[in-house]
Amino acid sequence: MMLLTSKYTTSMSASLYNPSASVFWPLDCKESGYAFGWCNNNQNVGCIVVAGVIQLHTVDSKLPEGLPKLLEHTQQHTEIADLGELQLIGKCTFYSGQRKGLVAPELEMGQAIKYSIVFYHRHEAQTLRFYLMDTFGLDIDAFNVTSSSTVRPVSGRKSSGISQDIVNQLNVASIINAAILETLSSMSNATPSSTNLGQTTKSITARTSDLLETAISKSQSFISMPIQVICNIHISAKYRLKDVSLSVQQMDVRADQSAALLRQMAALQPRREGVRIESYSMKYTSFFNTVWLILNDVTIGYAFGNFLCENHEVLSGMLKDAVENFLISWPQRALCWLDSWPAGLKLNTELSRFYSGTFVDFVDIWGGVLRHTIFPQLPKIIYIFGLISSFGVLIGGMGGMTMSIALFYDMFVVLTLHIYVCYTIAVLAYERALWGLGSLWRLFRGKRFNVLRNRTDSWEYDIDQLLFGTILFTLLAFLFPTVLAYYALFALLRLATILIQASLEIQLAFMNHFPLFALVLKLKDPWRLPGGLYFDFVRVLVHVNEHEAAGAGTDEQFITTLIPIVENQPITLGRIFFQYTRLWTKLASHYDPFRLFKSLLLGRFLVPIPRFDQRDEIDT
Amino acid sequence: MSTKIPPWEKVLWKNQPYPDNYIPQGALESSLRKNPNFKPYTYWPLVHLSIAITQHLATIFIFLSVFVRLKDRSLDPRVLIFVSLGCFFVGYFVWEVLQYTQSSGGGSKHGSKRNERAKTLKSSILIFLALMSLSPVLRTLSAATSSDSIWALSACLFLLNILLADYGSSSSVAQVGPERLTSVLSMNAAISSSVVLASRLSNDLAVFALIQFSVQSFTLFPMLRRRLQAFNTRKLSTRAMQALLTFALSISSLILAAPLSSTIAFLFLLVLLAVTFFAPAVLVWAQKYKNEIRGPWDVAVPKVN
Repeated sequence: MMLLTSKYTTSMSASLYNPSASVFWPLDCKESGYAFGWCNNNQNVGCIVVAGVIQLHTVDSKLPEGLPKLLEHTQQHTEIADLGELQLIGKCTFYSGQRKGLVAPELEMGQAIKYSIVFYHRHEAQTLRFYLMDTFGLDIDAFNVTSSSTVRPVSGRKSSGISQDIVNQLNVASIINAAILETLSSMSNATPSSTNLGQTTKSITARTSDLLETAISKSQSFISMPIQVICNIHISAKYRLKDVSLSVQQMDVRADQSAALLRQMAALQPRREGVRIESYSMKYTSFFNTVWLILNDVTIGYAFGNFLCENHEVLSGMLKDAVENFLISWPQRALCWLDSWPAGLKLNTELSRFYSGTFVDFVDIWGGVLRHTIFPQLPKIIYIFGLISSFGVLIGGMGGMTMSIALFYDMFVVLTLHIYVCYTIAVLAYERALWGLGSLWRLFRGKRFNVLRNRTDSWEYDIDQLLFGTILFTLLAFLFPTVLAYYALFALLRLATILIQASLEIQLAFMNHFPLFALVLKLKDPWRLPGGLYFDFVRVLVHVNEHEAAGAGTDEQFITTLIPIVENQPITLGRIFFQYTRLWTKLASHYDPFRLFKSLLLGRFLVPIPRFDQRDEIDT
Repeated sequence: MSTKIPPWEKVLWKNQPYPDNYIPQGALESSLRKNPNFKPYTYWPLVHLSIAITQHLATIFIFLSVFVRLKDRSLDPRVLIFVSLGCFFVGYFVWEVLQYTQSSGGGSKHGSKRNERAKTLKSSILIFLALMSLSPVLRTLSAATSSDSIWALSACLFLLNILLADYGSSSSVAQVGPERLTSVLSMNAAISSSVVLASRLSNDLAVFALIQFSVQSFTLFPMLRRRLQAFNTRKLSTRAMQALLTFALSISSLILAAPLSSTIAFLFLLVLLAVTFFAPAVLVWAQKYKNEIRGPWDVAVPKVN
């Protein structure tokens, strides 16, 4: 049963006309004493955040001396200087009766202002829990997020009760409270020693961090840096080495990751005095995300590498058979079929003979090249792949499942090189034929394409232009089905190879960005991954004095009411996998079936998704 | 005593004692006019105008007979080439004569005449060479297609040509400008039809000869014909010359077709006679069904005199 006191009705009605201040009170603070915190005056509605309470030990409620100076000194600390002025708010009392349950404090502040209490959780610094107004992204390079972006200036929100500044204060409250109480307890010395706020932050154990740091820095300087330089060499004006081969790109990614790890380790050192829990926690999360990712990769890579090394003979035999069957003899058979009136379609004999002769010879040549150079070495190559997959991590971290996927991708590209070349020739011929046909058809009707106005206009051609154009049009119209037939064959083959390449790339991207750490954290402790705030209500007991109780019609001392409490809303799964959604939209737009079909019809060159495009997106 | 009501006038600026939507009796019927600008066709001028169609049809028939003979190898391609060259020169000579007589009054510059002659020379040489180089390719163009589809395709294209051809005359021919091809699509249809037919022939020279002949008869001859038609049609001499030309063309087409197949020749004759004499008669007879009603709702036609 819920009863509202008249005090609260007045304060609630007062909030409509005369807004009262909201006081954010820590949930776990149940002592009476002097409250200190921040007073934010958001225009007219004041917002008071209570960081902690200084208890009164002795009977005489005398404030310890030097408290204002201590507060001022603490506030000088650079990290929290922008949060507002730390000051003494007032005196608070808890009337604890025999009743069980949550009790709301009563405050006496300097001015007699109406206030309403809002509870909040004041987390310890070790737990790495914090509030956040909005979601954040778990990126590899979360370290590029500067502090200014975490405190997003939300203009126009100043008039509401809660804003990012308030939330920052809420996050810092525990540290401040602990620091001040500790300093006060050792107040026997006259001068307040330097507050060691830094000690309250969670730190990685010193020994392992040093070992890891030296290992990573060594590998970074000897291996990763030169590799990264090599990867970014420009082959032609537009393409760098890493745009050509996926393995090189994967090495580049790994080098990037290790460099990022090094940066993150330096920033997470306990020597630095970090008080801003939110940025520290986010950096912590993304650092361990990367570490787990690489470890995951290496583990799976070890298993896969072992499999490869053990079965390299059998695998190479299977691969040889598959290549011979699907990539060499099947296209040749299909080309011969096209040459001999396929499905009753009568293609122009001369042109068809020319086409099929050229392509069959080309496929033959490529088959010969493969047979003489790669196939004899194939078992050894697979063995080396297996070794790289298992133990490559020792060489600057370049190894694991991702590396093996990239290596297989490159091998696939090399094996289907002949299809790529034949497709290029076929698509050039088809596109030219199509474009010529369109233009000559317009000439046939006596029209011309006006480039300035982007439309078709009628135009008076000369007689010789007309004659020549008409003859050429008839010529092209009769030769077109042949060109179309050969183009269709190679376009379908190219489509198949691109789809296989796309699936390999998707697998690679999946392994490169899996947020395993964030998922496990969400299960274990969702408070560490905040994605917003919401207000819940808890039942509290409020102490009322007699005449108010009489006014409400009861004669009890405590009245239950509901008070809002600030709760954390954990980050949604969608936000955890935000990189996946981004990748998926890019892939879906590139491999959209309608777009692919239209490109096929118009004779545009089919490419797999451009690498630099994909990579830059993920970097940002 | 009732005052005399003045008669209703169709003016708006007078205050009349009639209601606003008053229409006097018989006003609608009197304002309707039937066939106001009707000049009925007469028979012989129509026949004279349809001579153009006859000439065009005759050309097509000549072309078809020549093709059949080339295919049967009963006509030597070289003969055809020489004949068409001769016709070309004759036609060009007639054209020059016409141009000279028609623009004798106006002051045409020498430069433009020379320009035009140079352009014509360039075009003809270009076409000649292009045809010669393309004929081997054109010969094997439709080797795989069956003959029936070729005949059907060619027939459709010729039909298109007949329907869309411009049978008028170049009336405003006073200026010496480049001759406009008013119906590009029909000419292109005829050329592609002849290319398609030429791909059935067996040696390159025949292909070249046929296409050259078709270019001449479907591109150059219509221009000449239009020029001739615009020639003064009042004088009896020109009319007679026109009729003579038509007659010559038709007779030659029949003569060429007769040895091949008499039914076809008979059909040709029928079609020519129908187009020349029968169709105008039908048109004149159908005039009596003409019923064009003009009324006060039509857009006013200004009299410009």
